[in-house]
Amino acid sequence: MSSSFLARSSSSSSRHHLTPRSLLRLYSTNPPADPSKPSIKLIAELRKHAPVSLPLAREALAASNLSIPAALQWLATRSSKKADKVAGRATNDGLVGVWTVSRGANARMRSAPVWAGMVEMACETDFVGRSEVFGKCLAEVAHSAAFHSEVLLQKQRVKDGDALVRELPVDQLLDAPLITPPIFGLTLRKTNTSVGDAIRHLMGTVGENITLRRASAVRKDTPTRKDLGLRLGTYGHGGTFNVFPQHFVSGRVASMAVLAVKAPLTEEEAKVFGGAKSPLDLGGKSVGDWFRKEDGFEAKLEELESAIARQVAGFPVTGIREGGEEGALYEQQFIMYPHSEGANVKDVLAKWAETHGLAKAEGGASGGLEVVEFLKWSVGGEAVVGK
Amino acid sequence: MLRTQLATTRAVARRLYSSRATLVCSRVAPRQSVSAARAPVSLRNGVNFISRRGYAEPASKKFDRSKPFLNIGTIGHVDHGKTTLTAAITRVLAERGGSEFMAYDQIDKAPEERARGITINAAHIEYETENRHYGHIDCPGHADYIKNMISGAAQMDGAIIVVSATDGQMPQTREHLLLARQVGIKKLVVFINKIDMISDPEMLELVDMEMRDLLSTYNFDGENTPIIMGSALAALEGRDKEIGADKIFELTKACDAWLELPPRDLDKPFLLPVEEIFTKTGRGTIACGRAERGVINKGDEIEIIGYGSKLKTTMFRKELDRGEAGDNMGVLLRGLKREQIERGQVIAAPGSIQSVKKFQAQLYVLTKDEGGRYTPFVQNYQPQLFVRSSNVTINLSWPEGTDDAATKMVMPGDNVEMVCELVHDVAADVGTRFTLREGGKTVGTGIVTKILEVV
Repeated sequence: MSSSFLARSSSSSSRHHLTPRSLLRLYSTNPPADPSKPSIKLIAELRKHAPVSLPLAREALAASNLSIPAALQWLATRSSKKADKVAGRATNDGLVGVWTVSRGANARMRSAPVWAGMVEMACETDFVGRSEVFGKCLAEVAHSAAFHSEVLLQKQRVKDGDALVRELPVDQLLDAPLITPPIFGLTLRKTNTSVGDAIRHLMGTVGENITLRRASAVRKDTPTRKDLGLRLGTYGHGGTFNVFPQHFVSGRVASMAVLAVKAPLTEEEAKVFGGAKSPLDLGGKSVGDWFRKEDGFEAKLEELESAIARQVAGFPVTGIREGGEEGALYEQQFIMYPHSEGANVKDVLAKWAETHGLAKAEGGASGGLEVVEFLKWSVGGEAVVGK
Repeated sequence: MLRTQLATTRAVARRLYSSRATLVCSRVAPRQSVSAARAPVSLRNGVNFISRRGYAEPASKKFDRSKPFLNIGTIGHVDHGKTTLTAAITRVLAERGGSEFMAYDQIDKAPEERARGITINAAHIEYETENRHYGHIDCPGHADYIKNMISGAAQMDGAIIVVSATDGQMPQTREHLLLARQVGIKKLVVFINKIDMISDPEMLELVDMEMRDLLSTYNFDGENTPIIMGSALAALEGRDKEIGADKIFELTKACDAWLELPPRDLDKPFLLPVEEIFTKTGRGTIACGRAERGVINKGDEIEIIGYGSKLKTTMFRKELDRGEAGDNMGVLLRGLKREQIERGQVIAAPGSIQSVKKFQAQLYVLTKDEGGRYTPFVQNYQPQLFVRSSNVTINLSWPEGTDDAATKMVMPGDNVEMVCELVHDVAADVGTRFTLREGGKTVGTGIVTKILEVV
């Protein structure tokens, strides 16, 4: 059995199936003489659960006593030979995906982190990019990137300075274990599958080369600054896997934007935060109060964040304040925000802060709402970073 | 005198025709032009225009118009042998005299083409079977096929889905069938390739069964769709005739029998977009334009549609008794005043076309590199709609039930389905192509998919 498989795999590794006839013969004149030959029905059933090629499905069933659960287990532990065959081919299509673990400060938890992973996975045709298996794998890889960011970034802390969104080393991410988002439910994978294994598995399934081109992550909270909360907006344009829109967005262009919400505190209050005195003296006043004070504050903020992320993704931005009238996000007309009334991003943010009581307090430090960082990737394109 | 006059109109027609051909795409030419079929007509009239009609003769190779023309595409996974199959078809048919053999490396170029200013990746090949002439299209990706469909560079009338027997259907086969649906293909032929690499006939049955299931799931006729099993490589290499050349021939026969021909322009109801209007004192009003489809005879009743008006009248013309699609012609309209007709309206066979105020359309938004916008837009964007000879301001919005319709954006390079609401009504049908322009540049192109409101 295995020898005949080897014959097929080596023969088909020559491109475009210009197979030497001798090898073909070897395969076709040596049919596997297996007594426990899987029936067509079983193979069809197995393929409903796992989209693998026919010979592989048969091999899996033969190797696991014609039991479908066992065959699925067997398939899960096996990396596909097809992956070797297609590796190395050009990948010019693909998607960028962003998994958001936490959007940041909210009414319940002021210091909740902004926490998300963004990855670009490339494939050969957009047929594969549009398929559900690809979207799902992309979501899992982005989720894993978010979770591994802490460990993977430890070495890089000095290099990137105080950047919030940091690039992850792709080779190390590929070796890291794949962490499937819990809301995906149970998946048939062996435990400790690495990110690289998952991608190779996908390559075997769809028969195309798939590469992880780059990965970034943001994970930041502000436990020591009670007057400050961070928020995250994400957007992906044109992705077809939209099962969990709250957590996962994808598309040919995707963006993340980190916003800071600063509460206006009086001079005295600010001193307390800066000094050693207990914040309890202020009745526990923090930026979280603003989230609780007004009904729908968070929802409105979310609307604004997504609009910022869309603006970043859609318009030719080059920086937040830098880049002139064309490239500076703040100077652009805020077309993606339905209530902007023709104003630019800077003015809309200022007005929003004022309307929601974040502007300057009487005689004290000013609060407000600002975009502190953004990142935009498009498939095969340069990264655009705004700081 | 008459002859010289006619010769001038012909010259204009020729110029119009040729400029349009380069503008749209030379591949559409065989189907749009029906001038060769006209030849006997003018002969019957005793006037021989053939020598003057330069546009009837293609520049390089002679195009045989005696067979109906059909555009066919191959869709399938990259490794399943689409290109090999295409090469094999040309080889097998070349042996029977119906094609020119195209080797594998000649096909697999997928050159970039430009149609209506849009860059399209597509490989074009043509071949003839006993009954038909096929234009064969192969695109690398989903977006390319969609662009192709919307711009009309090469509308696919049918498709061959190629599936390898070693893999069977794959997760993306679903996307292939969805695409076929999206570009308006109603019937498919399936070719199961590489059967020489499978020793077990039961496996082939399984592939067959799975494909029929999947076709039915996506509303194709899974039961009756022809599924041909063979080896394109064997046919290309000229070995194993039973699974090679014979099967390829069987496949082309299945295409002939199963895939339906689109109605020819000549068989459709008459339609003439009005481009210019003249008054001839004592006679009436003459409307000029290039007949888009159908045939009209002197004395036929016609309707004038668009811009809120609907008039019925009869028409007649002096020089010829009959006008056909492709003719640049003027029609004299009985009892009609100059003010009752204007550029942008159409003259059509009564009841054949409606004046539309609101429709749903599939749009392709041009990228910056293609000369389009460089920023996205949201709904309630109002470009100018150019359809035939009319132009109208329209409002674009998302179809009812779209999530986040207020904030959903369209970026250059996208293809989307949107609702178009017109300021004035214009004549349109499902399948009418149009262009969107804004501030002097083309920002998009589209095709009507559903009529929502008529006048």
